Amino acid sequence: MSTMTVREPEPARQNATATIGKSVLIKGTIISREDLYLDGEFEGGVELQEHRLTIGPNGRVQANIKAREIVVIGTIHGNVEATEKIEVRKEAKLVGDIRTARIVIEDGAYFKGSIDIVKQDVGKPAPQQAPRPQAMAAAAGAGPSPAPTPVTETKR
Amino acid sequence: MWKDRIKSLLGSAAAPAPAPELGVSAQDRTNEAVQAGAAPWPRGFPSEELSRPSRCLEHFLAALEGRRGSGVLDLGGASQANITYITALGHRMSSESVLHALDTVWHDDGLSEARKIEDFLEQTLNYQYSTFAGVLIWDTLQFLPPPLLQAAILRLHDILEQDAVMLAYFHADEKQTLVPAYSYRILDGHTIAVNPKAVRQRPQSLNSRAIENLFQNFKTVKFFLTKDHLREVLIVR
Repeated sequence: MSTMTVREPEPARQNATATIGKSVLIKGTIISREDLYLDGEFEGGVELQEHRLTIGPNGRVQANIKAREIVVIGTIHGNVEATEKIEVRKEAKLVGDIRTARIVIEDGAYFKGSIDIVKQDVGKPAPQQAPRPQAMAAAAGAGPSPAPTPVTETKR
Repeated sequence: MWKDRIKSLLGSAAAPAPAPELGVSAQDRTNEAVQAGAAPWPRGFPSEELSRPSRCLEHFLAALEGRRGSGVLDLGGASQANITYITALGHRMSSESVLHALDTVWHDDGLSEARKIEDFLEQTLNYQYSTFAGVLIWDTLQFLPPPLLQAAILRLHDILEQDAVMLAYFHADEKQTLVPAYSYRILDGHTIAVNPKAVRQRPQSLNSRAIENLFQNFKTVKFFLTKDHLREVLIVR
């Protein structure tokens, strides 16, 4: 009677990052259980639910993307969804809709699309938001400012 | 950085001007200088970042109150400050750069004017399935050539909801053809930061009457008095 050893799946290495180099072209779907650095050309779909995706400076991606955190330095055409944060660097080009809890866009980045800020899960710290104008006035100790009036108005 | 640029421009201005080429108009040379980024900074316009109050912005934000969750479109390109401020008010933010589309499409001499307009509207303001409660135009419209300007305003009318508002700035000096293009960031509910980007050719002069005529299909056009070079206008659909 023979015995068979069942190997446990190898746990993901801590801080490991898979890399797709700049001379690589892939079409299909990527599902990753570790962080991914994509510096090549990719077309399809990307899912890294609990991990970070970085599109390198040479990366050109035409895909819908879901990840915990996304850093864009290269080019993305597609909708992106990050449960925690999206960072769009100044060299980046992103054409598509963004859905995320927090976003950082550097000056000079090209972005065309819509941004939906979704609240993070209960228990996680909420992203810092810009105070509303009224709250700012109250915090500054200013009284209610009179409603501004236009100089001229043309009604049709 | 801008001080260095002004110094270098003043230095180049002191050099003797090259003899004009035959068949090249003054307008052509100006356009070339603007495109090459070598046009001198226009007098009377701030060349460094500054913050200024904007009563038009106050009205714009007040009009958005009660429309939480609706869309706001920023035509000045992606800006962290504007995205943070508008989304914190509960709105969905869309962003695109009209001037980027203009530079990409309009200067292609191989295309007819009608085709350029078509391509421009394909690249920008192309929202078949979205409407907006507000549009931050900033100063972008004044740089569009007249036929493109008309087409863009018609398209804006189509993608706006009823009673939606638009915030637009126009340079008040009607004589200047070369004017700075700025980027604008919302600092708070009544203050914006104005950051100079480049000198651009303004293809037409727009006085108050011309601006009113541009938006004749809209419900109201409100002008706000300012102390500087910007004419602030709030347009209600």
